[in-house]
Amino acid sequence: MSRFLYYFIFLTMFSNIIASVPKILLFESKSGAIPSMIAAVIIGTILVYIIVKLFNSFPGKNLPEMLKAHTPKWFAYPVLFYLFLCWFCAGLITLITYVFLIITFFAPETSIVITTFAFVLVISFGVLMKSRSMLYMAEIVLVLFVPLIFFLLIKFYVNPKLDWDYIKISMMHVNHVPSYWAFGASLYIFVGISDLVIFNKLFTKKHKMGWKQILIIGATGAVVLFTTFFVPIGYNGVEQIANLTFPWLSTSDSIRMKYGPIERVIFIFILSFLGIAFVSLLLHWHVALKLLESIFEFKRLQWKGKMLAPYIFVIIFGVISLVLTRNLTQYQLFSLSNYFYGSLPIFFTVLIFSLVLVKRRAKL
Amino acid sequence: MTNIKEKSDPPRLMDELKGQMNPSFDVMLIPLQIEEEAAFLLYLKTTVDGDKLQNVIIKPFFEMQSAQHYGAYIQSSPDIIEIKSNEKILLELTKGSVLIAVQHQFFLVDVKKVNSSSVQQTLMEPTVYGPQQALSEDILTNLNIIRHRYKEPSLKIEIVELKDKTHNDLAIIYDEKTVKPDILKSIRKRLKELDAPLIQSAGELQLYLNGKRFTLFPTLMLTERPDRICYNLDAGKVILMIDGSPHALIAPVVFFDFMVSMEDNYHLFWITSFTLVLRYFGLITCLVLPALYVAITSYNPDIFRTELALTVAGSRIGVPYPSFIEVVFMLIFMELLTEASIRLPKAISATATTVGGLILGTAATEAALTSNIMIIIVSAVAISSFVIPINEMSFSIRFCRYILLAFTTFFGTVGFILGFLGILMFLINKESFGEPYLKMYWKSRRSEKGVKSE
Repeated sequence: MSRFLYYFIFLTMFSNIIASVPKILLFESKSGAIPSMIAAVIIGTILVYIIVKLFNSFPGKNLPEMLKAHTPKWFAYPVLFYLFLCWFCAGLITLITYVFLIITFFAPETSIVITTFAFVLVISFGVLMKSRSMLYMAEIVLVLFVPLIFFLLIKFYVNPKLDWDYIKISMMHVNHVPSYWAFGASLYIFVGISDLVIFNKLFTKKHKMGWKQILIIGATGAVVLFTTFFVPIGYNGVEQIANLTFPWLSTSDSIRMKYGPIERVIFIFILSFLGIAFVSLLLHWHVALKLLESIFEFKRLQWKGKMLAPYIFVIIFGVISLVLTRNLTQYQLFSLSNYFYGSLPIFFTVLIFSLVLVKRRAKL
Repeated sequence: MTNIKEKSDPPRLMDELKGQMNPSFDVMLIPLQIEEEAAFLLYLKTTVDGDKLQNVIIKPFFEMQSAQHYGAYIQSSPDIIEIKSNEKILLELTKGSVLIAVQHQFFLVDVKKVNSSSVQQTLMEPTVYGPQQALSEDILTNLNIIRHRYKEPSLKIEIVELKDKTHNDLAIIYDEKTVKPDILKSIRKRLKELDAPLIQSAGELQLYLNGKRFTLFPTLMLTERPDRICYNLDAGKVILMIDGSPHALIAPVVFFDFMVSMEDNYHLFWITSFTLVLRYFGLITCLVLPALYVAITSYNPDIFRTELALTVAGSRIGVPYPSFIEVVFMLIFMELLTEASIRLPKAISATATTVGGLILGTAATEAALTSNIMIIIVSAVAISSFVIPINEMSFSIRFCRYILLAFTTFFGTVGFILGFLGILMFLINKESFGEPYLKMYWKSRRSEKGVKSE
């Protein structure tokens, strides 16, 4: 497997901590969260395996090309549009959640519009980059920020304030029926691989997908979900955890570094996850933009030989996110992301079904 | 006296050419004549090497038995140039060739005099251990230096003539075994498309080869070190050299190339690693520190531990304006100081630094125009920007610093991180002749071997 595929997967896995995933999981900590997580790890790994295997049959081609070549128009365009919506929402949720988080914990005096605008300005430039640059960006950001995140995770795990008894108590809730919403939220950490829809164009060689790769992805997913779910419980207890809006942020604020120039871990936490969230957002919206471009090809909109359509799309993205961050409340955001995560099984079904269909039609 | 009567007229071509070059004072049309035999020389006195002309061209004429022998002699000269057209002859004459007419035949022989062939000391990229000699201003001398250092038969040198008014020779040098054909092709294409009235130095050529009018980061590297040239030849890069410039251009380059000093190859491993880490630390410091100061003092003083935050705030007591004005104010003066010490004659620049650096710094804090910590930051930034080994990159980073500062001023600490990621993205999205400018090179051992990997 190319190392970039791991980056797609790992980026989404890490970014789940600052998205609403922990909130949804902890909300159901006393009902079906744990069995749903177990189910999600198993099914998610299988889904990753299937998707990589399916894309292996079409090296160097992206999904819009494949769909347009082998399926009728009435099927291809709605599917592409649905996929676009999913990616756009994934990016939008990351963006809005992060802006809310910054406003709450980091810069409460700054206007929300200005913070969003800072994001939109940089992201718009980033989204328009070449696809190849996107991969290198992912790599460099991971190299820069992941050591920091590992350092923080070690801090979280070795701190004596982490009470394993709480974790043990919460593990007692394993004997429940899996909850659908918790399952969707946990499945989110495996979404990264579907960035292949666009980026497959850059991979001309087949990916090796054996036991080793499956094991790495599955184990990482399990560790990430375990951390996401149990560390906040270990710090805050089982009883009140469902009431926290940003469980992970509150948790990270309970750690101090005695000798560091920056004493409160929360700042390092926010800044390092800012990098991760940024790249995750970048990848999501880049895919969304490319999908949208494949649906609406405005060949007439040109200026000095440059296509104008992507610029217009990006401006629309920016305007939508500015309007939404201004008007959305925390609760609405929470239910919006809940529905989005809930729709993930449908998303995977549509993706795999269309891939299988293309493969059938292409007679490969 | 019959000989003189029989003295033949110079051939018509020579008369025509002389007419075209008149009234320049240095056009010489000299007849050589002994008994029946005659030959004519046409050259520009100011461009040819008088001694060589006398010894190689004139003297043999009088020693030969016949003009036929002389013609054969001239034809076998190593410096002979093929005659293509009249314009070509004129051009060659201005470059220091002599046109010889013997028995209705014309020969063009190169006897140019080069005053700039002395090899210079390294000035821009000095090293302690490495070679101390740089390039000269004469292209043939430079090519000789490279051939002397890189004795591979696969080393290819192509000479192209620039189409501008200098008509300088441009050498494209590469190692056939390691070079990527695509890159060579795109460089040739760019050179063909070159449309500039006057190109006098490698730096200027770099500007035109960059492709875009507004560029911030260099996509070709300017160097004066022969060892760097050979090192890059080995990595499969293409070297461009222009006559009359003591610098060579290296293409394509990646970001990490600009952070490599040739000295890295001449030291022990741990020492090299240490200096490399220092250099990257300097890079980050000089890029980030001013913006970080604004972010910390004006937006998030709570990030630092309480004691540190109080110290920073305490040093700003009495400073009458917000932190970003303070930073911009001090940085601009620092830039002025740097510029002044580069441009001034050496005798005065020491005074400028002392007055500017020491006296201004102390006075500014005493007048409560800036905080003490700001002075520390400004000097740290100034020093660390000189750590970057290649000057052009140092200039680009200096510029980026202000972009980051502006972004932080507008958007706070979040803007600081986002601006940093933005600069990173800008670099990553850039290309140098089809090679990505910034990416991780895992598979190569040394950072500069960008082209070979993958």
